[in-house]
Amino acid sequence: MPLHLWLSKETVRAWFALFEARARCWHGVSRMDRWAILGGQLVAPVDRQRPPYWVWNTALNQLYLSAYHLAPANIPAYLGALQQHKVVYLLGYPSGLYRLAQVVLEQNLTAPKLKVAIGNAEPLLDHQREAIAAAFGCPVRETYGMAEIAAAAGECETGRLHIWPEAGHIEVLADEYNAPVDSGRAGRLVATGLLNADMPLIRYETGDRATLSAHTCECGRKLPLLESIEGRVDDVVITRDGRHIGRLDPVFKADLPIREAQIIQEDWAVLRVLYVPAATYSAQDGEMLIQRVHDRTGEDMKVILEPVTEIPRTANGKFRAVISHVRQSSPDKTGPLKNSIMTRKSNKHESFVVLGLFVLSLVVSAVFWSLLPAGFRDNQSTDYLNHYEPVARAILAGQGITLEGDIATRYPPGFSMLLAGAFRIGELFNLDDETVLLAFRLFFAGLSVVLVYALGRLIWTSALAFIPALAWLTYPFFLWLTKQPNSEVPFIPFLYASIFVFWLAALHKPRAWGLYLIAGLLAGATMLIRPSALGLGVLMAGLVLVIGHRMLAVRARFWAAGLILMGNLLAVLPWEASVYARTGHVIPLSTGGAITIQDGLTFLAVPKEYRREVRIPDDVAALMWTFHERRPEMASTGDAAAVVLDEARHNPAAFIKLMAIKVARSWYGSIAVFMNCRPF
Amino acid sequence: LIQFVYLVLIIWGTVHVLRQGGDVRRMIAGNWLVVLNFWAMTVLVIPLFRYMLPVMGLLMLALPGVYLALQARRQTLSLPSGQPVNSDY
Repeated sequence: MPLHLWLSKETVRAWFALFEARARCWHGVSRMDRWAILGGQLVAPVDRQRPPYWVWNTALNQLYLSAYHLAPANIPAYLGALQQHKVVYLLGYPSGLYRLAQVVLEQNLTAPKLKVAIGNAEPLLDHQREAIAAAFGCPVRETYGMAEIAAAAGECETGRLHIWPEAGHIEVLADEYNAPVDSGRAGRLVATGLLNADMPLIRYETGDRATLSAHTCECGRKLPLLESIEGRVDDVVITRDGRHIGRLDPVFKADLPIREAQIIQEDWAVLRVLYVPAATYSAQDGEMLIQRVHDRTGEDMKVILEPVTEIPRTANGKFRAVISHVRQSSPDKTGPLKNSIMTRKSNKHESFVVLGLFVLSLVVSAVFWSLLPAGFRDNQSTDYLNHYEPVARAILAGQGITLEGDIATRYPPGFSMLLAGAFRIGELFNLDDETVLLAFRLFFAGLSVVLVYALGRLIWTSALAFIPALAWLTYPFFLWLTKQPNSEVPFIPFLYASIFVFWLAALHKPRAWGLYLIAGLLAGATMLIRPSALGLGVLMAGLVLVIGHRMLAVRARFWAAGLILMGNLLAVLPWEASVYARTGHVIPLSTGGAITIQDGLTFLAVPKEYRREVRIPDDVAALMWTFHERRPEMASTGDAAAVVLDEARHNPAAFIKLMAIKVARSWYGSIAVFMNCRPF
Repeated sequence: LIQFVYLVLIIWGTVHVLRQGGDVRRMIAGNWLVVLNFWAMTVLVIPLFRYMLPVMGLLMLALPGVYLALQARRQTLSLPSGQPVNSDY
């Protein structure tokens, strides 16, 4: 929960005086000297391409340098500004100072010689200290302090960290209980502020870990010592152009209804923001948060907002505002962090989860099917028995996609082709058909579960993504559907794979053009299994045009949409061309469309032996019978559409009722009364 | 009845997720468009739930929203005043 701090002018004055006495005077500088600070204030627009990346604050003799423009190409300008303003000492985030120093040393630039460089707000690491000292020819000193003004410490000339008792009383308590630990042992740093009488903080949990020291300092000062400050190592965020941004957490500090948040840099161009929304949080707040991050990182940084119930803590229980999984070197040299320990651990974890889900799916499916009464276990799919399997056998026999000698166009060929492949594999391993079909169903059922998890991982944490995967693998209707070789069994994973690749590109890798093509190809393959996916490619192309505006320019969006459509066509065209060559007709994936549409207009009124009786209004029944009588006029999809429009004009009320029934029944309707089995 | 329970949970999760914004909202909303496409195709032919079943997995991606909604509700109710905590951060 955020803390609002009340400070009077006197408190601020006392704090400034303390800083003057302990941080400046100890190192031979004063507030009267000209100095520079490298801090988190936005003193130049982040998209500024030319200097100045700073402002001169005359009142404080201060050159405020932007911490958001520290790209290597800009460093000479920073150095020029330090020279021009005759800066005597430098203060700032150690990560920013280090970045400056690094480029100075790498490019052998001439930096002004300073009296001292003082790090604040972040731990000063040894390699940073060495580099900064070498670049600016001065000692580098660390300070510890906090905006709450409850504790502070500063490094003396011997390199020891002295506590500033005037600021507050520091205790180091054990992790498990509220008792002080001995000197030399790390624990929670708890502080009681003494400087701020307007809002005293008593035994305030700073969130830091520290170790007290029992030694005395060679400098002669009697102030107590801190041996070390631990756990303040917020990773820097590194942009694609090499800018190192030391602190991004200020983006949450203002007025957003967020309880807590954490920024995770997953890739050179991807920041995932975990946040715990307050009750008043709205979509506009999310957009504002993204904008604030963009203000600091630039628009090309992809920001993914992920609501969570709590922010995970590190092993020592510390909250980290920023975590970067990206190495601190040029993206061009190393690319994304594929080889880092973090990613390897993460990948290993994901692999276990995926494997576990797949196995769990197999177990749940097998248990469900084994519990089914004998009458339900038989293959009741007439489509399979009358079409898909015979066509698969014809393919295996080298006769192509044919049924009784003619090209089989009643259904698209995808499912039969997959079956033919499965049967061929079964032949290689001497497996009977029943075993092959069982393995076929189990494999695709498991694959669909894994893909639901993968889709979930695009937007959720691993734990949250587990929820839809678990729900799907135990979904009774899914288990029922996969009990026999229905075309939906392979259709579902192909559909999910297509959508997964699409969202992967659209949300995370907007310039991975190949992914759009693959998404289109998979959408086409899905359509070749069941024509109900017709329109999926067009829909995805439309989506990328609409939602891609945050990441892609207009031309790039059209290019992405074009690739999806191209992939879609590439997958479907061979089948369409083959049918045209054999029949002279262009078909919408299959010739079953018109018949199925006719069935859809008459199914509730016209009895069939396997259909259940359903009560419907008389006028709807009459309309259905009318459609039934006009079946000869509905030979093609276009003819069927003409008849439907004609009847809708003549009998709009009944037609609307019929459509309403169909719209509702889509979510529960069943038809399977076959072989004395009850429908689900 | 079973299907009704699933649909209620999905709609609940979707509503919560759509309020959150960002990529979660984009993806869930986009998936609903895919569902609408399938729904239209199903209405065009015999309206069987079997034809809609393949997209149920996509809809289940909104289920974590139910969990998050419950968490948010629990946290709000646990406050003494029953009001949200200070919205500032």
